[in-house]
Amino acid sequence: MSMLEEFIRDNRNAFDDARPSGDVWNQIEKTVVPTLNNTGSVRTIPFAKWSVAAAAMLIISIVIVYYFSSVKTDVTPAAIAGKLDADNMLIPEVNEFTRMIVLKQEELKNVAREQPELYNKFTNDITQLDSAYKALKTQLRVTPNKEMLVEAMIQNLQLQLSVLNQQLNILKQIKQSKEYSHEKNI
Amino acid sequence: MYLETATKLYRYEWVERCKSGDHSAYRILYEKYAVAMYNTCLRILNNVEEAEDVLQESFTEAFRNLHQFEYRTSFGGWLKTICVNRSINQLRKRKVDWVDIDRLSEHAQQDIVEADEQAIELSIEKVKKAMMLLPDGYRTVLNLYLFEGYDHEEIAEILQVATSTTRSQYIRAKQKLVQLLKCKS
Repeated sequence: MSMLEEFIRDNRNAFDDARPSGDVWNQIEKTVVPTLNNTGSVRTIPFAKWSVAAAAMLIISIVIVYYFSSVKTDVTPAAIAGKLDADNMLIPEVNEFTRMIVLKQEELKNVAREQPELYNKFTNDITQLDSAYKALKTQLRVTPNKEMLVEAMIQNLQLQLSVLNQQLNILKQIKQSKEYSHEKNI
Repeated sequence: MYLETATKLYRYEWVERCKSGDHSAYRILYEKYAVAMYNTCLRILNNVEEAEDVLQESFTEAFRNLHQFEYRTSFGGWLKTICVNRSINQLRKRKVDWVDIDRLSEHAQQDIVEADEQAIELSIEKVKKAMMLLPDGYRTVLNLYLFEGYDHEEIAEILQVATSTTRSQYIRAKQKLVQLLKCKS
């Protein structure tokens, strides 16, 4: 080995005396760390995000339904109250609503098989509204102000229907996004 | 021996931590290897900006492909291969001619003899400065052989030239370096 080769090999580490600037790490961190965040917790984030989205959509839809139902005049409670069957308190419009609600609930049950947790939350919402409706119905037999009560009942049913529609939409979107991410993985 | 194994295990632990998603481990791995890798890039490229760019690209590539690293070599060795290859690619953009030695006449090639090193006084600073004055082709071959510890077969593979070319290029580069060192002193 020549003198020069020997000198370099003996002092190899002393030749590494230059230092890179701090910007190098900053750039690496900027490009590498965001992709790490994206791939780090694939399993937990989507459901949390969807729950938040679902909750937000429910709140928005409830606000919208309340707003519109308070302005709506096409279903006039006075007319409905007038049509009340004295014996069994049957209201034709109400029957139509309940029939549609049952249909939507069936559909929801089918779509929600893959999302049992979300389905439970959804049914809780509807159950609460439904028990409120039942309470109104029992009051209808005794209250002197039937007009107001029928209005409240119809509003309740409209709300149930609207909530069910929103829930179905949410479930369909979750299904679509799952299918999309599945395709991407392939 | 034991110390070497312990050091390896310690370093591998950081690689494993990165793989399991520990963000701070990336910073620690960078701190451990950045200076050595940067000097490797800088010696090949002889340009601070380009060396920093290549260093950044190499670490980014290594971190992104960390799942492919399976300890067939040390992490440092793996990282150095990435740095060297990227530096050479960068150098190719300058249209470096690796094989200019082949075009020399036979007579000229016979003239290549071991340079007389007895008269020169060596210091780290002097060698560094003289290295910087070498043409890109000479500097690269000299670097890969003397500083990075590759043998001629490996250098030939990296530069995609014949082994005989890197051998003769190396001798000529070393001769040129000795000349430069003599001039300096």
